[in-house]
Amino acid sequence: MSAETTPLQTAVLPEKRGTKHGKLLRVIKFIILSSIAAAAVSMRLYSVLRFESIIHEYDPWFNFRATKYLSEHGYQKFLNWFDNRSWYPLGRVTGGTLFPGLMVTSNIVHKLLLFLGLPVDIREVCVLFAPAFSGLTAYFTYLLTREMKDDVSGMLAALFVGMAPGYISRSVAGSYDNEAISITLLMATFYFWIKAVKIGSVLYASICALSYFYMVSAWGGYVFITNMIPLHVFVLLLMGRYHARLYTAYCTWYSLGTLASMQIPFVGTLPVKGSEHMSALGVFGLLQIVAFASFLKSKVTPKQFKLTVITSTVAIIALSAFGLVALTYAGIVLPWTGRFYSLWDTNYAKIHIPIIASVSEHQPTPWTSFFMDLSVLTWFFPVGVYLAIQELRDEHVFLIVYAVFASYFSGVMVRLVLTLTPIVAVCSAIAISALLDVYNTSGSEKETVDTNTPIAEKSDKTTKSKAKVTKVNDDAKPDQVSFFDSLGRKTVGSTLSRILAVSSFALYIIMFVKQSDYVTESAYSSPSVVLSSSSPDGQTFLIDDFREAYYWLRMNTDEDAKILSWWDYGYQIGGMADRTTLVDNNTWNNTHIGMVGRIMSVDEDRAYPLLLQHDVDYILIIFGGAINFNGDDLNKFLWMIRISGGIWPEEVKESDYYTNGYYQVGSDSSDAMRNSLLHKMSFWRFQGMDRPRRVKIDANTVPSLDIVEEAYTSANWMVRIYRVKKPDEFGRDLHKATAFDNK
Amino acid sequence: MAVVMAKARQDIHASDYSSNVNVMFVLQLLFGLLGLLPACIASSSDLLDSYVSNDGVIYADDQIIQAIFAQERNFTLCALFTTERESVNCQFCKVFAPDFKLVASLYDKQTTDSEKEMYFLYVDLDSNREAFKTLGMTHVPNLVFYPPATAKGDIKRGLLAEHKFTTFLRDDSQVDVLIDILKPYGVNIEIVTEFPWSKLIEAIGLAIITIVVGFAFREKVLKLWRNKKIWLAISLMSVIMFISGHMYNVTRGTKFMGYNGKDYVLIDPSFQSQFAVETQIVAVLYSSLAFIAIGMIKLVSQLKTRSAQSLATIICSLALLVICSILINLFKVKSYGFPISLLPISLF
Repeated sequence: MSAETTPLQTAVLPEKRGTKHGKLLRVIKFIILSSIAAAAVSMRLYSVLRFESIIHEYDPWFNFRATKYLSEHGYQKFLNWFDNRSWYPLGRVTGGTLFPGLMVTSNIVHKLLLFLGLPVDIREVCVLFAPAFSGLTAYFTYLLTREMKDDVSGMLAALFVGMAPGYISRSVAGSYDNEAISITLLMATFYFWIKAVKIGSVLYASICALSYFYMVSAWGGYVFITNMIPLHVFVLLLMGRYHARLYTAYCTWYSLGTLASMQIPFVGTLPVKGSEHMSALGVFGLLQIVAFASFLKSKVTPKQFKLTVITSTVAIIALSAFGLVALTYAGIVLPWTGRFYSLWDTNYAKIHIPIIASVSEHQPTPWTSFFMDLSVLTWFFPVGVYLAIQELRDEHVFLIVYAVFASYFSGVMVRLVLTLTPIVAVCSAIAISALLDVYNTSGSEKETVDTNTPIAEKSDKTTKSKAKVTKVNDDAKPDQVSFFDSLGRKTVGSTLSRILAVSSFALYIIMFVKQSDYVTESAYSSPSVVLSSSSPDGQTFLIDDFREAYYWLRMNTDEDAKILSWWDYGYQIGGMADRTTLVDNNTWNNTHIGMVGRIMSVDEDRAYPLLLQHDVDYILIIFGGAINFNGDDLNKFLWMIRISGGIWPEEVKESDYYTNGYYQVGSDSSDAMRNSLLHKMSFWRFQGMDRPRRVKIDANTVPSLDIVEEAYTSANWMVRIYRVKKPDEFGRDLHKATAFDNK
Repeated sequence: MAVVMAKARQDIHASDYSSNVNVMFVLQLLFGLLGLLPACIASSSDLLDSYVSNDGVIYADDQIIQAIFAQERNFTLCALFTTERESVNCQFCKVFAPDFKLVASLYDKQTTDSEKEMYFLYVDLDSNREAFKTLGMTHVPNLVFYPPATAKGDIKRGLLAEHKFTTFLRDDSQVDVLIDILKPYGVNIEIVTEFPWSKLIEAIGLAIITIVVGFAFREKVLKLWRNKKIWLAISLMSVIMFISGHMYNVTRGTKFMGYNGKDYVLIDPSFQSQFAVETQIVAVLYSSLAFIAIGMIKLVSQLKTRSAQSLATIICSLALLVICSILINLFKVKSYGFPISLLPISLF
C-alpha cells in the first residue's frame, strides 16, 4: 500500500507554486472564490432586508429554542433534556430525539464571537447561520469539482451552487434548520471521500469519516451519504475496478464512520441495525471478499481460482441474503422506516402513513419546480453527465451515480431537490468549463503553461488507466490522453466561433443569476411568520397576525396553560408564546396528532369530553377567510380528518365530510362538516365571503358555539383563539348554560 | 328515450365525471305487513337463482325485470342502472361497473343460494329501454335498492323514496364504498386478499429464464454490459426524464392531456401540476439543448476549416437561443410574472 501511495503523492505535489505567475494566479483565485462566497451570502439576506432579522417558519423555531436551552443549561443537560412543555401530557425526550449538530455549532460560533469581544445575541447567530455556511458550501463544492476536472470548473461550480435557488430555498437568513449546515457537510464528506479514493489515503478517509460523523450529528439525511458511498464502491466493483486504494478508503471510512455515528444518542445502534444502513455493511463484506479473491488470484492457478470464486460468491450472497431476511424477521434488523420506504414505492405513504403524505415537502416534483430551482442548469446538467461518462475515472463514476439517484429522489420528493442541487452545479460547471476549454483563445499557449499541472497528474493517470485497461476497456489505448485533456488540446480556431459560443453561454449564465435573484426575492425570502401582501395601489403591507396572537398568549394566559392547535403551529407556540402544546412539528406520535384531528373534526358534544381529558385551556386555529390566506386550518382539514379517521374509523369518516363528492364548507356543506368543531370555530361570528374557498358565509352558518368561547381574534382574523369553558357550576350541560347566559 | 339520453349526457357533463352516484334508498312502505306474512312469502328467489350468471350478477333484460317486479320478493335488489354506450361517454359508469361486478361475485362466492338476501342486477340502457321508463330512471349511473316487497309492483318511480347521496372517492377503488353501503342491508362482504402465488412463481420463472439466457449468451451479455454507450444512454435518459417531472406523473397518475370541452390542451396553466405530455415536451427541449451543447463541445473543433467552424457555431448558438426561448415562454405560461425574456417565440 505505502509503496503505491508515495510516488503518487510526490507526483501530485510539485505544482507551479514557486513561480511568479503561479502566485498571481493564486491571488486571483482567492479573490474570485471569496467574491463568490460573498455573493452567495448576500443573496440570502433578502429576507432580512425585506422583513427583519427573524427566525423563519416552523422547525427553525424549535431549533432556536433548543439552541437557547443549550446555551443556558450546558451540553450535558441538553443531552438529557426532557421537554414537558410539548406533547402534553406525554412530554418529549428532546435531548435523545434531535440532531444536536446545528445547535452545538451555533453555540460554538456564538462563544467564539463573544470571546473575540463581539457582543452579539444568539438569535443573530442563528439567523445568519445558514448564509454563512452556504459560503462554505461554495468552497467545498469548488474543491470537489476541482478533483473532477480543474480549477475553472471548480470556481464555476462554486458560483452555481452558491446561487442556485434550489439550495437558497433552504438557506436564506433566518431559515435556521438542519439543512443549513448539512449541505456544507455533504459536500465536505464527498470531497474527502473522492480525495481518499483517488490517492488511497487513510488520512483523507479518516477526515471523511469525521465529517460524516458531523453530518450524522446534524441531519437525518445522512442516510444519503450512507448509501451513496457504498453504491459508488459497488459500481466500481461491478466495473472491475477493484483497487487497494478503494479498499483502504472504504474500510477506513466505514469502520470509523459507523463507530462515530453511533455516538449520537438519537442514532444509537441504528447503523448496525437499520435497514437503511445494510447496504454499507454489505458492501463492506463484499469488499473483503473481493480483496481476498484478488489475493488468491496471485497464489493459485486460474482454473482453481475460477471455481473457488464462483462457488464461494454464490454461497456467500445466498447466505447473507437469507441472514438479512431472517434477522429482519426476528426483529434484530429494523425494517425500513416509512419516510425512506416511500421513496421507492411512491404510493406507500399515501396508503399507510397519511402524516407523511400530508407534508407538502413530501409531494412529487413537477417540472416547473425543477426549472424554478435550477434555471438553465437543467440542461447544462445532462451535458456534464455526458462529459463525465466520457472521462470515467473512478471519481466520475461517483458523479454519475450521484446524478442519477439524486434526480430520481428529487423527482419523488420535492424537498430532495436540495440534495440534487450540488451535483447539478458540479456537472454544469464541468460542461461550461469544457466549453471554455474548446473555445479557448490560448490553445497553443495552454499547452506550454497550463498543462504544467496535468503533466504530473497525467503520468499517474496513464499508469492508472493502464491498470484499468487490462481489466475493462478493450477499446481504450494505454497511450491515449484523458478525454478532458483532449478537449483542451484541439481548440476551435475561428475567432467568430469563440466569441459567439462564449457570449451565448455567458448570456445563459447571466440569465441564471437573474432568475435566482428573482426567485430568491419573490419566493424564498418570506419568513412565513410575517406575511407580506400588496394593496391595490402597489404598497406592501405586512401581516403580522401570528406574532400578535402568540404575544397575546404569552401576556394573557396562565404560564401553564395548555394550547391545542394543529401540529404545524406547535413549534411556534412553544418558541414565541412559551406555552405548553399538545402536538408539534416533531410528528413522533401519530395517535396524539390523530387525537387533535379528532377533536377538531367531531361535533361539540363529542369534542368536549376529549378536551377535558387533555386539560386543554385554549384552542388556537388559523383562519384565512377574511384575508384570503390559503394555508389555513380549513384547507388542512382534510388531513386532520384522514389522520384521525385512520385511527378512529368508526367516529371520523372521510366520506361524511364531502358534499356531493366535493370538499365544501359553509351552510350547504354536509352535517359532519357543518357541526365539526373546527368549522364552527372558523366561521363563528364571521360574515361575508370566505375568500380562499369562495363561499358566502352568513350568520346562520354557525348558529351556536357552546363549549368554547372566543378569547382573542387577531387583526386580520388570521389567528383565532378560543377558551375552553369549564364544566358548568350548576351541573347544567353547556348548551343550556350558554343559552341561559345569552338571554 | 331521447329524454333519457339527453339527461344522461347533461348529467355527466355538468358534474364533470363527478364521482357520486345518486343512491336512492327506497323506504320500506309495507315493513309492518311483511312481518305479519312470513308464511305467505313464496320463494321467488329460486326463479332468480337461475338468472344469476357466473360472476354473481343478473344481466337484466326487460323480461327479467318484469318477472322480478311482477311478484312478491323476500330479498333486496341492488340494481345498477348504467350504460356502456360510447356516445353517452359515461366515465364513471366505466369506473364503477367492474367494482360492482366484483362485489357481486364476492357475495356470490361467500353465500350459498339458500341464504342469499340480495341480488345484484345490472341494467343496461340498451337492453332495458322499457325498464328505464317504467322505473323512472333519468340518469346513469344510478344505484338503487329495492327492499323486500309483498304487494305486486308497489315499488315504482321512487314515490316517497328518500334521495341520499353517498360519496364515491375520486380515483380510488369503489369497492370499499360499495361494501359500506351494503352493510345496512345486512350484507357483509369480506375482501379476501390471497397471497399472490402466481406472481411469485412468475417472478421465479422469470429469474430462472434470465439466468439461463444470460448464461447461454454470456459473451454477448458481457459485451453489452461493458458497452459504454448503453450506460451513457441509460444515464442521460433517466436524468433528463427525472428532471422533467416524470416521477410526478408516475406518482399522481396525471392525465396525458387536458380537455376543456372543445379542444385538447397540452399545458396545464397551474404551476403546481402538469399533464404527462408536458414531461415529454420538456424532456425533448432539454435533450435538444443538451445535445446541441455537446455538439458544440465535441464536434465543432473537429471541423477542418475555420469557416466551417464559424458556420457550425452560428447554427448551434442560434438553435440554442431559439429552443431556450421556447422553454422560457413555456415556463411563463405556468409561472405568471416570470421576469426573464429571450426571443418572443412560443409554441404553446
